[in-house]
Amino acid sequence: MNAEATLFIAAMFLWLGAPVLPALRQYKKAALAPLYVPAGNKLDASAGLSGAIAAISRGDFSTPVDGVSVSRSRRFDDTCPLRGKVACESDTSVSGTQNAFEVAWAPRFKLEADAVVHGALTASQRISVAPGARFRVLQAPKIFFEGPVGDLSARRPEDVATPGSPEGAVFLKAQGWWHATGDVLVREDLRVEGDIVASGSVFIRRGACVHGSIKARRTILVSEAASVHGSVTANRIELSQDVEISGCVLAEDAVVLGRGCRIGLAGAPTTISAERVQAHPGVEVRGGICAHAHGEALHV
Amino acid sequence: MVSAGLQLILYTVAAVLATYGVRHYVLTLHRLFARQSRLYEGIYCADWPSVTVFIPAHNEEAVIGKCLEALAASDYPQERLQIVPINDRSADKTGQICNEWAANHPRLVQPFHRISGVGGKPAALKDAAELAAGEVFVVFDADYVPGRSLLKQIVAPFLDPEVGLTMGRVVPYNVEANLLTRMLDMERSAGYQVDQQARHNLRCVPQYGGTVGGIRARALRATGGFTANTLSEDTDLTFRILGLGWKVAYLNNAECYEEVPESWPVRIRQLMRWSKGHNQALFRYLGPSLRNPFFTPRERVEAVFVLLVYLVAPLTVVGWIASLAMYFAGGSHTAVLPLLALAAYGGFGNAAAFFEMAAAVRLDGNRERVLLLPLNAIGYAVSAITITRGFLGLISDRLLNRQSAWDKTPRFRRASDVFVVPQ
Repeated sequence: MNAEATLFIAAMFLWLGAPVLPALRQYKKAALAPLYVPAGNKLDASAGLSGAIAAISRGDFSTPVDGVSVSRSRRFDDTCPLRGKVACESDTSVSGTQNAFEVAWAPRFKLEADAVVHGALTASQRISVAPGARFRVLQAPKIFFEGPVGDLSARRPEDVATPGSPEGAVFLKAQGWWHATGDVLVREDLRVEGDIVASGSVFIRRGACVHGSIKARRTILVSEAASVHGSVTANRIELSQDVEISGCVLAEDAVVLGRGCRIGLAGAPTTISAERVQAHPGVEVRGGICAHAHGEALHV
Repeated sequence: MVSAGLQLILYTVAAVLATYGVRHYVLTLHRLFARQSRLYEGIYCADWPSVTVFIPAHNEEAVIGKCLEALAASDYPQERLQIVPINDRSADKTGQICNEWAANHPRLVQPFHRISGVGGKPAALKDAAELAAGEVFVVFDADYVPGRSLLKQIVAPFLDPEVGLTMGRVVPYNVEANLLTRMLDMERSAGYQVDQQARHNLRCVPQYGGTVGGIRARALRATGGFTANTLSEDTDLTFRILGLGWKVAYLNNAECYEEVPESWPVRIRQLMRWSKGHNQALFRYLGPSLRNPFFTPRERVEAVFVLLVYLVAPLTVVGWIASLAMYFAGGSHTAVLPLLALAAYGGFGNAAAFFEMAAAVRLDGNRERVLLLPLNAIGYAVSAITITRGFLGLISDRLLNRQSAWDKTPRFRRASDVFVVPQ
């Protein structure tokens, strides 16, 4: 073997072997824990509070349970902010911007106009949200954005709506959907049976009704007094005044809820989930709202 | 003439590897810096569909009890949940354990005992699915230990009518066992944390992995049900369901523990089966995927990438052989072509995959583990040779008209082992 070949082999050995040397530090290391997998996966914000809630129901307000503090306070603000996991024994109002809690539970919550909350608020009965309040996760049988309720009597009864087909879509029997490669239009006062899947946007006109779920790659625009008996999923979802959606409202980007919209049913709670959620006054949600980045109660 | 042929082979190999390398970089950079899709996260309550959970089990007495225990503790509405452990011709106490669970939870646990028929998970699932009533089927391997809310997370995307399959993230729990398990943990991490999540973000083609995932029953029936004559029912199902317009949703937060092989022979057998199964899917679905009317152009390109991925290793081996042949053959290209090949492999091929792995480890918060990265070159070499062997095995099976047999991965956990999901 000549000198050139020896040099080449030595260089290759160094080039390939040198990066392996630090790996020897990890070679016999036995203290590598597997990834943290949250047992409850944080889906149910009240999960960690169950012990505290049980204690409250027994009338025991003194025993700390599962790292949860039990509070008798009826009001949290910047002078007395929410911290950690808190179970409140009575109806509670929250205001101010200093509430750095993880989960809070109470029979009823009221979010004041200046409130900014980053944790998950769970109420066993109701959450009221004043215009101007900002939130991330809310869960309750009834979440109400304070303001005038829509005129439900003006809504056209569904059985008056005419059965028909959405424009721009064809029905695929095997899949059970209306499918469109572009936009879909459901005309005024039309009733559509079946799911709708569109590569573009879906427009539901005034008084129309869809008995099925809707998926659009771009936007779903639902006009005044229209209703959807199913879930709606899109990049962006805009609901006009007095719209009713019985299923989940899921958006990649944003959901805008018009005045007097009703999401979910009393016996069948549902979820709104999006990066940003904006709700006008009079909106009523039965179930939960998850605003991954930002939720806001709008002024009139 | 020979030299020209070798040159052509080398250029082809380098081009394919470079293309895959660019894809790795795009996916990794997107995962690191772009906004992540959270469309199906945070769904607390909904009108949940009825679910049947299948647990295919062949001689799984050591692990199936823990899996059933974890599923019975799920927060999914119990009245909409049916758990079907599939006792697939077991010779140990698997059937007995399933029956004990059924006796204690008669409505919730309904075992399916299979005493004859073709062996293997796809065949077992095919038989059991024909009798199941759920709107959504969820499959867990018997060694998996699902968390309390995992079922809701896996099922939530089915509220979107376009979703036909969902896939959660698989995390090895026996990371501490030895060097192999630690390297496999990094590999899994790259595959899920970076690759699958980026494909989900970019609306490409995330892949259903056969476990920790859900299947819309309607979509499954529309495609003719599970296929028994495949070694990779997950890839097979992914492409059949994509063919009818449904999509796959990947859920990075829906994490579940699994056991990874703790010995090289077991790992090699597992890889051989994956290689054969995936390439079966390549032969079946490459043509239909190119013609799929429901695919966007991006999905079509990605589908080709996914289907061809188990050909990259045989191509790499061909490239190595061609490089050596050119080097020893001599001639004017000897200095340039091996260098070109090396640059292609190092710059875009291997290094890109390692970059993906490093990014995944960082995202998972295991910064120290990145030191193991160079040792993955050994794993890469073993994989390349094993996958090539699997591919050649499949070709010979086809030529000789042999049926490829299902090869079960042995478990390393014992029934007496206490396994607690870390908090």
